[in-house]
Amino acid sequence: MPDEILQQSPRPSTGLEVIDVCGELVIWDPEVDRVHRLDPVGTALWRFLDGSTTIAELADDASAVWGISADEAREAVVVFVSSLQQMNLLAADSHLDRA
Amino acid sequence: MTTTATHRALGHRFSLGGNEDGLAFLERIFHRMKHSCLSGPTNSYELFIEDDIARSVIDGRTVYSGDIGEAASRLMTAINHGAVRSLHEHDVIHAAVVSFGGAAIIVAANSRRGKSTLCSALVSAGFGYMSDELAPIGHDLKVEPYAKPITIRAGSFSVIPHLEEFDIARQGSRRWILDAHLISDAGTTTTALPIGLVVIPWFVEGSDVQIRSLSPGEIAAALMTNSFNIPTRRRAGVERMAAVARSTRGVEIIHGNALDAASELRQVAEGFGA
Repeated sequence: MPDEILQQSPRPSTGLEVIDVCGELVIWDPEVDRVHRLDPVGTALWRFLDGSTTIAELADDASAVWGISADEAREAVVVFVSSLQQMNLLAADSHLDRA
Repeated sequence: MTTTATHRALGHRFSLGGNEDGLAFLERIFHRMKHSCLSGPTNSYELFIEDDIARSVIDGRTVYSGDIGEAASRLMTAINHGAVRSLHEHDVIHAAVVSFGGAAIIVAANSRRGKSTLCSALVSAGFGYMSDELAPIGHDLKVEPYAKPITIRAGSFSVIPHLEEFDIARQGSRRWILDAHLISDAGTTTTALPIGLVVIPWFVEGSDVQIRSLSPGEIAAALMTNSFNIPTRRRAGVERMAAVARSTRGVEIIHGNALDAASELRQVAEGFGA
């Protein structure tokens, strides 16, 4: 895993309408009128996408909380963040390919 | 040409017109929307039928010429849009709605997902009719009835052949226009009802009926996806859809036959006490 990616601090796009529905986040993107739903795991990760927490830090926490290896956690977090990026839910200046 | 008294679709007021045959046809279809208002109509919908060719006219402009059922359907679509535009405080979901046990069951799906066919099958199975097109949800989380005639495309005729006798268009055309009030003893529901169940239908040819419970997040996402007016309601709409999802149950149903699906959903509704 390139270190540049692990040091990225992604944050959500502005303008999204995000709401917690019994532990699952539902996100409406007004720019394209599209709805997304995060499962409880995605919901937990999303809450740390604040533009200052790095992917490495997020993966370390995920590893500790979910009892998985650091490599597995990093892989899972990068896949999750990449999927958010593909759905245009991340601010452009925090895209992984900017690393 | 003649015109009739004002009709109403939710807050949308309109008049009907056309030549003698066209107007008689429209009055047969829309007679349950007749309404006496103090204020006049905002739009006019006319139908002219000559030599089995129909012409739809909206506010003086011809929008279609051809099959009679299709011509009436074009007018109905425009009336539906007017109904959506007339609501400013409601969240309007693209859905069929039936009632059971004093609660509304929302069947949320966009066009060509078999919504109207399933709706007519549900009404045939004893559910009350509220709409085959719109579910307007108010601040009290109740659904307003919008009991327009049910429009069935030709591809579904063979699924519900027993309902042909309720086709009030009676033109042997590419569409049936069903008066739901006549189909079921439960008739048409005329008051707003709380939501007891949200159903997401999927028609898969040849499939047995499969039902899966939805999480509240899935319910909210489905309602938002099928909302007509979330771009104007924005945060208020998102919050209301979430409130609905937190307070009701939902199922996804995959089926290959609307009558079988209706039978299964009746058992689900009875089990939920909807």
